[in-house]
Amino acid sequence: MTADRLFDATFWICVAGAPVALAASLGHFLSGGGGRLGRLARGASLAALLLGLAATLADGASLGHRWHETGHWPSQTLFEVIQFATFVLLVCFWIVFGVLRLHAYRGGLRGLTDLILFVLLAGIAGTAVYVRGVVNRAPDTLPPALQSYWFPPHISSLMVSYATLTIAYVACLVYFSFRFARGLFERNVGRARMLAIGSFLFFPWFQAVVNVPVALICIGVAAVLYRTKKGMGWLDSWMGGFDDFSFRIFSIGFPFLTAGFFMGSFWAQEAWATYWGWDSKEVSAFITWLIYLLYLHLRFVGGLRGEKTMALLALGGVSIFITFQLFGYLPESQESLHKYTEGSGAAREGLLGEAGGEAPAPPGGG
Amino acid sequence: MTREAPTVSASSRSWGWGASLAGVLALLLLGEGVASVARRLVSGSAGILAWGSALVFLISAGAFLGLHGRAVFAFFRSVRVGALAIALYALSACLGVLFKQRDLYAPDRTEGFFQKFAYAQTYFAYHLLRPFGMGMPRVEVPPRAEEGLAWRAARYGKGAAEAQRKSMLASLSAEAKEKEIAAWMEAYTPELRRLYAFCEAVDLTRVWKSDWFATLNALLFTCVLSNAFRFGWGAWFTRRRFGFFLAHLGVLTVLSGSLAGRLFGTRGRVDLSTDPEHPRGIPNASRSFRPFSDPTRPREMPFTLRLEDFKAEYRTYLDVEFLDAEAAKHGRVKPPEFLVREGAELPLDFDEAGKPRIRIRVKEVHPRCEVLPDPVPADDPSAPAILAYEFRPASPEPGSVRWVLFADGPSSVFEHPEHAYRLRAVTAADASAIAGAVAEPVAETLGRLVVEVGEGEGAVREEGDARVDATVVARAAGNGDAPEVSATVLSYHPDPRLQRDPGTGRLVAGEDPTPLERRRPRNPALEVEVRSGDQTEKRWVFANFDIEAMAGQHRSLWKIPGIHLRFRFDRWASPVPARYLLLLREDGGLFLGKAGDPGSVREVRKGEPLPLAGAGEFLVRKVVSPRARIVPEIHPIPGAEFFHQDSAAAVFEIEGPEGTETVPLAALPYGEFSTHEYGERVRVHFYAGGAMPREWRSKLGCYDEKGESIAGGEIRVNDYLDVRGYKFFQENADSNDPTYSGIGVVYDPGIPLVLLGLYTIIAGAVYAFFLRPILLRKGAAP
Repeated sequence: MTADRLFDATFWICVAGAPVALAASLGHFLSGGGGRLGRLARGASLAALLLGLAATLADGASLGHRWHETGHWPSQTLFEVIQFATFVLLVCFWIVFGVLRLHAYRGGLRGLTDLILFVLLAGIAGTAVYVRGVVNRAPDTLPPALQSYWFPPHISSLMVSYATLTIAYVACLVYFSFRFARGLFERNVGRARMLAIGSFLFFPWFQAVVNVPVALICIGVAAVLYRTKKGMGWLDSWMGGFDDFSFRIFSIGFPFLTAGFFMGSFWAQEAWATYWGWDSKEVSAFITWLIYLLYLHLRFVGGLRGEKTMALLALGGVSIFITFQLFGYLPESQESLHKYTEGSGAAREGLLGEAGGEAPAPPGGG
Repeated sequence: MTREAPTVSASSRSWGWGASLAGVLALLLLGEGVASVARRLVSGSAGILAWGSALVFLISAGAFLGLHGRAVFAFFRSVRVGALAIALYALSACLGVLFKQRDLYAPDRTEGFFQKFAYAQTYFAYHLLRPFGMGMPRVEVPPRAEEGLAWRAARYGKGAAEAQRKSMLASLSAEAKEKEIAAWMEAYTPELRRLYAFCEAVDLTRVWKSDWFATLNALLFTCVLSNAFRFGWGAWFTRRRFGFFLAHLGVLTVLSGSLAGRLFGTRGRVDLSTDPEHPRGIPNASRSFRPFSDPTRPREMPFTLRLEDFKAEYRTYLDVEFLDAEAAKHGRVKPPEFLVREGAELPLDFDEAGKPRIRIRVKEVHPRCEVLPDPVPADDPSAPAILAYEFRPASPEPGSVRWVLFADGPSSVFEHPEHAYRLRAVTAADASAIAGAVAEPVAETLGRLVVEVGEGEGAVREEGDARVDATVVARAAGNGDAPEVSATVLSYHPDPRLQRDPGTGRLVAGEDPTPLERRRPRNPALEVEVRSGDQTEKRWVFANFDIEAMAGQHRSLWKIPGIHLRFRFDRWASPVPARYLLLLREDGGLFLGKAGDPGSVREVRKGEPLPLAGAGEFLVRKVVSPRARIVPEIHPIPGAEFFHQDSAAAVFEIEGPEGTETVPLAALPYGEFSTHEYGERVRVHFYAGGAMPREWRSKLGCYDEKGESIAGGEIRVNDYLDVRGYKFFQENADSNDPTYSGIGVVYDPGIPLVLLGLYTIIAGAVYAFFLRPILLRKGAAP
């Protein structure tokens, strides 16, 4: 029960933190860090970071409590995976924050950190709404298949990589949004590129829940800045160095992705004497890995830099998104060994009489 | 890092993106063609033309390679071709998850696969067009169920009610969704058929086994190979290139290993049972396994695999059922199950302020115990006197039996293991009552035979004494035309070994030379002749189980319909050499007498062997009279032995308005000592079960042709046994058949190579990402 309450606390902290982070971000962008608005934005930014820290602690405590309560690594049920994923996302934010020295950003640039934090907090709050609505939170016992020493490192490694690479995705998203906005107002981006970026940002599909709000915020900020003739020159240095910036986030996540991926193979080998079974979850992760591998090869061997490789990073992010959000619906996932099962047909008893039925399909999977 | 990365090399500059893509696609097409011709050549169905064209192709390919080897090498070494190979690999992987795939090892070649395909594609399309559930049918918990949920929250807590609500909603929405998907599937059947035909034609339903994917693997292999060696032999062991080389060498090793596995590997299953005489004929040992690719053609192994032991261990749960009138209304809903863990506390029955009235605490949990019944005095006026005994079999048989007899219970009988005698306990007020009870003769009978004709309200039920040659007659009510039904007992079998008669195909009892009364009735059965009008038929009727219920409602076992037979066996009066009565006098005196022989009565003492006509010793340990109930006596057995057959037990403390009770309960297979009622409020039920075992393990032994052990070991999920390249892993179990173990078998000579390759990639990556920067910095320092 306490794990539930702590997760609910995380939810409320995120609900409170997201608008503060958004306000801080807008304040920083619009003021450039100066004046009264700039001071307010700095205060809000600090508050948002503190709330982010509180959310990290609450989520961590919730996870720790669940671990203690069940006596096994808490990544079994959908609820536990969400608990764990949100916690790792927050922790990875702090890692990226430290490694990329985001705290040293001043002026309008500081708004970028706030914006990334806003996306993460809002995303966690949204996920928590889903959990509160339909996900069964009762703890369960670990089935024999998951009783392996590979279980914790396999899952954790993949979670860390997915979280970090998601942050890289969000950073790319902010970059492309500003690029698009500047293209709109400065008319210095080619038509084909505008079309490509625009369709990435606004394609009406699953990822639109993240893309469209971020794009609209950035375009809105740009619109105000150009109307007030302030311009966005302060962004130039960041956008110019973005390739390296995003690569550094990638280089934190990719080794973990590779490690988690390989550990899955070793585990399968021990369990079924099959290092690779073409299970749809394996393949989804493999696709993600191949995209990043392509990024690595094109960047190092092909010498490609800039927006083309960043587009691959963004594509990798979409792939992670698919692995998480769409995986359960893939035609091949109906029989996947990686599908989370929860609930049972028993719930129908007394509700629909003797009408027998299959267990409900899990809403997604992770 | 940025500066030292080489730009697109001179040799690949001639291969632009478009040309590279065209080249790669042409290669894939070529691969398809080569594979289909090669397949025909291998299968022997190829004519002279095919052989000729293959020869011409080989010669021209060789000539091309000889003349343009450098250019071909440059093509494969090109960054663009490499990048395209990776991109196409990713794209193929996408296709593999976007379309329903046939099983890798046991492909479904029936029409049924189209149905699976159509469902999976529709399911995907449905969710794709309803992102985040937008547009999906809304479901709500019906008001009638709301009442039940409120009740559940008040009794079991908000968490339990919330979980119930969520599963109800999930179940309801799944049902609504499935309906829509089925409608879509029906509406788009022609389109799905076309899509299916297309996917079948280009192998999109078997991507991983397709020729074009194999070609892509070969392309990738060639690209990696030509790139790994692009800097020449000398560059391998330089500080700059070592990681790069190692990682690519690893990829080559993995691909080679997987090719070896694909060419020479087999996987399948072997079903074994710990029971050497398994009723369904599952063997205890096998020299072959059934490959998934063709289960009808078992594959031989170079040794015999035997299942030495198997056990599935289940977790222990506690169900709590409320006993009041309101609870009865909601009784159709299964109570939540609580996992029993030491120290756990379960609050129940919440008042208005949200405080629990009852708390159940788990004080002790013992996973392995000897559980013995212990009679203790009871208040219930209807409770019987209970006697606890111990039976020590004559050596060399090990182990004694400790159990109880209920006084005056006709079915509470001790049966001698070799069936020398039976014994039961009776209470008697005084000496004359004792004499009377012993003097009363026993009318020998097998029990009662029940004949039911028809079903429902119009059914007629007749019963009669079950003796050989006795007949029970019944006639369907209210219907003068209905024929008279009669059932005549032909023979009695205390423990028949049923065999199928090869001539008639009927089940017949095997010969047993032991006299009838010396055979212990483990599975008492009657062979009965049923006559209805001019139809007759022979049937087997068993006392321990209802063969008709076991066969299921949809299958009629018998020729003559509408007639059901039951056999109620008499544990006391059926044939046995001797019957003894153990008499409990009200003042505590204990007497033994042979039934029907008043002169045989004599006083006996607790703790001393009784003078009975049979091998072994029977001792009375404890007598609780006149009213007793049984509590389990729990003796924990220490040690980590997994393959034991003892049960789990736990001690609970129930605290509430009726005071605090300490309740020991055991999870025995037939549910003895597993329930307890706390006042008239709740009934708790402790058991081992659940959908999934906590752990399952098989003990395997491998034997050569002389029957000598060559290897052996335990397997569990996540831990296999490897014997001469054959890997055995725990795959299957059946909760209804505790002796059965399904063992997955893999013979894949490529596995060591693949693992070596994976470790090499890791070593290469560790070097390239972590060691190389340090080493290069050091090298650059001076």
